[in-house]
Amino acid sequence: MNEDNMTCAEADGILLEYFEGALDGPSRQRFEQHASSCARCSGLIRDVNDITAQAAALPVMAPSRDLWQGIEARIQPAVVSIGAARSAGGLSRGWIAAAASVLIVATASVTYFATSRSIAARVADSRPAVSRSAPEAGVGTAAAEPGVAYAEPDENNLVDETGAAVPAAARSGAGARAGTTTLASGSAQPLVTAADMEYGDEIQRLQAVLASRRQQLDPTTVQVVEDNLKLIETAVAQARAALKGDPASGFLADKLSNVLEKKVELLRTVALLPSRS
Amino acid sequence: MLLLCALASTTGAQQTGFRADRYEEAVDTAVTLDRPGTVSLSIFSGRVDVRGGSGSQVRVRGSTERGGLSFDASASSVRISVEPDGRSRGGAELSIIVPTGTRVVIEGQSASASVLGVRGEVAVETVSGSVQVEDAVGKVKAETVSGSVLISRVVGDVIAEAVSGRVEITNVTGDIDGESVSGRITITGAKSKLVRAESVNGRLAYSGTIEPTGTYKFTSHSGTLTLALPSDVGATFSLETFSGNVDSDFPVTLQSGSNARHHDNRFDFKIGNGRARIFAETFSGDIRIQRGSSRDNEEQE
Amino acid sequence: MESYGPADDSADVTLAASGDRRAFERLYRTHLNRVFTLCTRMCGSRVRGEELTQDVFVRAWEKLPQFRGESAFSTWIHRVAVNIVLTDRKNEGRNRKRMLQDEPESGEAPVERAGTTPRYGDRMDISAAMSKLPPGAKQIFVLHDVEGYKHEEIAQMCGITAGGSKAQLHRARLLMREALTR
Repeated sequence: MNEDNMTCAEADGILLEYFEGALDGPSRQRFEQHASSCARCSGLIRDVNDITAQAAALPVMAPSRDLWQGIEARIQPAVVSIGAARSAGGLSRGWIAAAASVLIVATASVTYFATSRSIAARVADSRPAVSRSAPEAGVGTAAAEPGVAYAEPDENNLVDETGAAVPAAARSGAGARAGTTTLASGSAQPLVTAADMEYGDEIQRLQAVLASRRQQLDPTTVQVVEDNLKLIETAVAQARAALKGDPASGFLADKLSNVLEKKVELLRTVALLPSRS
Repeated sequence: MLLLCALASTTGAQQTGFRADRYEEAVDTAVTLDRPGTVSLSIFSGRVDVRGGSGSQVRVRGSTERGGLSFDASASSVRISVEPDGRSRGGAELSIIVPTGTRVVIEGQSASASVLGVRGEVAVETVSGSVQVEDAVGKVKAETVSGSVLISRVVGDVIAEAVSGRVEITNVTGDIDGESVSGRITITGAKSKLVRAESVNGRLAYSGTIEPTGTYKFTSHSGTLTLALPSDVGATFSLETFSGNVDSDFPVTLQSGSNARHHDNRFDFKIGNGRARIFAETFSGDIRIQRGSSRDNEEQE
Repeated sequence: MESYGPADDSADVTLAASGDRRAFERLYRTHLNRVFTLCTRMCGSRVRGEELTQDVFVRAWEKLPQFRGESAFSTWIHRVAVNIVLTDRKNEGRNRKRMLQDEPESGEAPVERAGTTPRYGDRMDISAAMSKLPPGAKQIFVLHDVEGYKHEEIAQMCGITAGGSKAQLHRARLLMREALTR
């Protein structure tokens, strides 16, 4: 018989590649051989294929009502510009960027771009402290000095608001196995998961913002933030380690994702903090 | 209706107010609102205490750093802002009385705020200060980084967030959403159909009614979750933890076979008519389900 | 009823780009359902999906002069939709988690309130399972398995790597499976 029979654990490890059709001939053979005699694995494969098939067959839906009027009302001829009438009741010079404002915290090499909830809300709000850059200029022209500026998100290029390439650590280049990529920083956590892919870029950018803004921020607050970031990072390491031992666990993937999200939220809060002076 | 506005002079001369002034410039002013509206405050450091009062006046008293105060009033809204501007750091200590029902919005940096007895909506956001809200009606939102958040006696939905400070939410009738990183979250006396509490390291404790169609979700990484539930609770529980212990006064059955392939512990079970949904998920935190009422000695099967 | 007529579209696109609201309304009617479906599935809520759909068309109106016709209008407006949903999610990063469970996504399946779905081995239908996915995973799942985008396209639209998209899709499918087979 075949002396290198695959185990379920091994099969789990290359499951993703199998579904993507990325296994080489021999590996695929071994995988299929294992699956053909393993109820657990063949059940898993069958279930996932089922899910994919059902997903592809979901029909188009229609809204409960005609939405045109709402749209028409918002595409009136008059150009609404930032700095126009304020909405009643809003804080006139609140320095905390409220939901309806656009804030770019610019540093020498990194910009963090936090945009508002919806275009209409943003347009209706005014922040005298926020100046608008040239319309349609695209985010590449964001102010180079520290300050606050406004720019339109560009749906033709969502990748990076600075127009720069996404940091190297998250793009390990060809040959990186999906889901298991070695971080260029050589940190103690070699396993990069889906959650890292999802949050990694933003975390990196936000951390750069925190680093560059540290002088401007209240030291006590910075201390609290850093202490709590350490706590979160410990939690991340624990979740990561557990996930490594059980890569197919949706629960653990979720736990990791939860704590990474907390990290992003905390960093985001810091990025939007007002400066001390 | 005419708007009356009398600003105390701020010529810089020392004025003694009704109490010792922490900052150089005294403030004592009142504005009459035509109709229930909003009072917004923005201060950098110090403290703001807002109370509800009868009548239609907004009365502001206290002290601010020199030259920092700006005051805007309209028929239904008042905006007070004390901002750092090079000369002053935006410090203020203000006591404000507003008409009952007024919506209060406060922003601070290293400022604490209390809003008591106003019976209106409240939104407070600060960084290194504490927030206390009591006796509010409508939406309450309170956020801080290193201070604590204490909210009690609210009829309306509550959102409370702290990073390291504790969050205490007491006697709220409405949806509840509490979040922290390391601060403890304690929810008591809740009457809610929708509760969500999430922490990384902080302990979560909940006691309140469980509405038949309610959804209750508690998530932590390492913090302990403690739920104290009425004996006659009817709910479907989904408890899941990677390495925490699960302890329950109610009978818990490990769902057979479902976790043979995974290393976490999952418990799905139903109590009573099982209509409410309760989710408790941790990584390493313990989960404790307690039978709330000690009067009920009925044994479950 | 949907009719995608590229020739029709381009005439209306040209007119709409120069301010013709009637032409834009025709474009709206042609593409409404697909846009709505995409938004609703990605965000998990019909109500929010309707709001986002309106945002999409408003944004499309603003950006129409920039549309250079290198792709079909339907492709372009889909990208606008994805951008709007993703931007909404990122910025509602804190707010979105306030929705304890997403509102039920109904339409083609019986309404299933995600919060009250029993997990006793009753089979949940796929749309209920989808609505329980975490937002990032749900979006990738919708874009790939429901809408049929390729990983490279998803990577470009979402600002992640193709590998990241594959990993997220894999996770989403496993989560769906867990939800459906418990």
